[in-house]
Amino acid sequence: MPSDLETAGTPRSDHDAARTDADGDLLAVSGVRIALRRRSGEVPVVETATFTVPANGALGVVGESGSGKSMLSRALIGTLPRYGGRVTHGSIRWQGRELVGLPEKAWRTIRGREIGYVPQSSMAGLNPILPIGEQLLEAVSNGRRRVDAEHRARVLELLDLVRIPRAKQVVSETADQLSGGMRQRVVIAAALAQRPKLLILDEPTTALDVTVQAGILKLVADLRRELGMAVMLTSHDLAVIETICDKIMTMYAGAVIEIGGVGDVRGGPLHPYTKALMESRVDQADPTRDLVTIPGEPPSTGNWPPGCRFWPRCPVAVDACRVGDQPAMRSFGQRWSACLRTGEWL
Amino acid sequence: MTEAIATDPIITVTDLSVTFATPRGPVHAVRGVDMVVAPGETVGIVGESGSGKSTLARAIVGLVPAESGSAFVDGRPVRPLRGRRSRVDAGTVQMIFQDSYTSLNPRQRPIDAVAEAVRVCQGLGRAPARERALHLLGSVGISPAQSRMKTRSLSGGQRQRVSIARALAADPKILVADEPTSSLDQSIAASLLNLLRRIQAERGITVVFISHDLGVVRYLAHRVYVMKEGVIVEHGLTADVFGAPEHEYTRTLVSSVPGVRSEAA
Repeated sequence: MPSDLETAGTPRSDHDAARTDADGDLLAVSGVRIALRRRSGEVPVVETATFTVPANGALGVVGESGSGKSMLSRALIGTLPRYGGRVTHGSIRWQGRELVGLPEKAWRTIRGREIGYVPQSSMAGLNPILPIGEQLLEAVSNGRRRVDAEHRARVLELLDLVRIPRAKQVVSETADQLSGGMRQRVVIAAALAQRPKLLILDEPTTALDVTVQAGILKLVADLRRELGMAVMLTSHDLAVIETICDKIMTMYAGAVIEIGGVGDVRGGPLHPYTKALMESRVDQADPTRDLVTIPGEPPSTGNWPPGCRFWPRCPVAVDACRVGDQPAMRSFGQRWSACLRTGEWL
Repeated sequence: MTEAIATDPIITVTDLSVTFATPRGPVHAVRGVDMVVAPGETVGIVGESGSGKSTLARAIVGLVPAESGSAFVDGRPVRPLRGRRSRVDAGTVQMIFQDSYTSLNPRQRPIDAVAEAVRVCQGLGRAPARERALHLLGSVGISPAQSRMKTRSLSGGQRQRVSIARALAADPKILVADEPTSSLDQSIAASLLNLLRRIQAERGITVVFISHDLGVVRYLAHRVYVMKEGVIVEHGLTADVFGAPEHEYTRTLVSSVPGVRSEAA
């Protein structure tokens, strides 16, 4: 078993080792805007996302529904067109290479091969009637028709890698014979088939029971260490992100509004929305007191207010927050915040 | 375990079992459950999917028939669903569900949905029923303008508030809530949990709260029952059960909550 893990984790050659840009970042996203095509025209869903993922880093993206975190993930694997979306502005540099505007054919050499993707619903990632082994073979051989013994060995190796017991039986079973947790492990195995340097997981445990979720989170943390890969995980659950990520990025109404180390953000968020999100957590609330709430509801997509998206619900908003564009991120040492008043109200 | 109930229980469940016939054979969803709930307390039932927690809740309300054992609610036996009359009295128990989109008619306006419940349950006339409905909706944070919108144009959090107002229209003694915040965003769920707490405190209503979310149950429930595969594996005061779980499964459950491990270490 240990030898399997080592083979899986070792890059096949020096050529395959993660290339980073001058700043040591695997992925550098800058000023990205995403719009979805609607009958009424293009509706912006993400605006001016700027962040980086270093080699071997683990970035957690937290946001409520409609925050744009899933669309951002899809932009990074080039599947926006399937949802009627596109990147309208900005740059996504992957190991120094520009991904915005890449034709679909070129995406195929990156998606799944260099950047792996795990969707929320494990059923969405799997064919319900095709045997697990067949689906993994496809991922391992990257769709080539000729499948050899090496490919078959790699399938078993992948199932070991994601800690699926009795791998030899599982290959002939179908997805609907497996539990939700086992299915999600198979999806992760498929995403790892081409030894990606970045694994993107979009709400990977949201549909799972808490004991199953704990197993999947531990697996992702272990795989990151064993394989030396970077991880980007989106979740609505701060606790999930705190468990396995080292950086946290908050999104609100399509905007990235705070980035910082998990410990730093936990210790004292720089943006009032992140602060409210931390304080309204029920898992750490005092049962004798009311929960802290955020007044109102997030704006629906396309109905963003002028100025800072959060001002209608913000306890510290001033006139300057209500006009102009969504404020740009400003750096505070190793941390970033898009609040005009960061440094002032804290 | 110090969880003795001083007053006569409002819910008494004794050796209750519920079995469903399926094409693959019988499924024993609830197996020999004993449970008591005192008036005015909030009792949580936690468990993972397939634990039988929702089935137990439905059996208490009379939505599913018990195979054996008994359930007494407010001194009267819960009889299996037979036609329309055999259910538990609407003025005794009301239930709210996770998915307010299917439990409310999306084309109905909140005021009409709640006024209808007021008319049926309180026997009021049309005008006073509407007045009472507006008042109830206001008390759960739905404005008069929102009360006249189509339900489908409300947000998930607003719809769940309408569900609560409709349940309160019957002036029930017991509210059974099955995962009422599970499909809501955190900031929306927080204000709904505050609302449930306020209703419980102000009306002295008994709440049975079913959830897979240990954090929510820890926050809301005075006492908790932990279910696994149809059986209650542990019960007691919430602080005791989550703070010092006795059953191995409860320990697994508590230690699986993300973030807990890193804090304990």
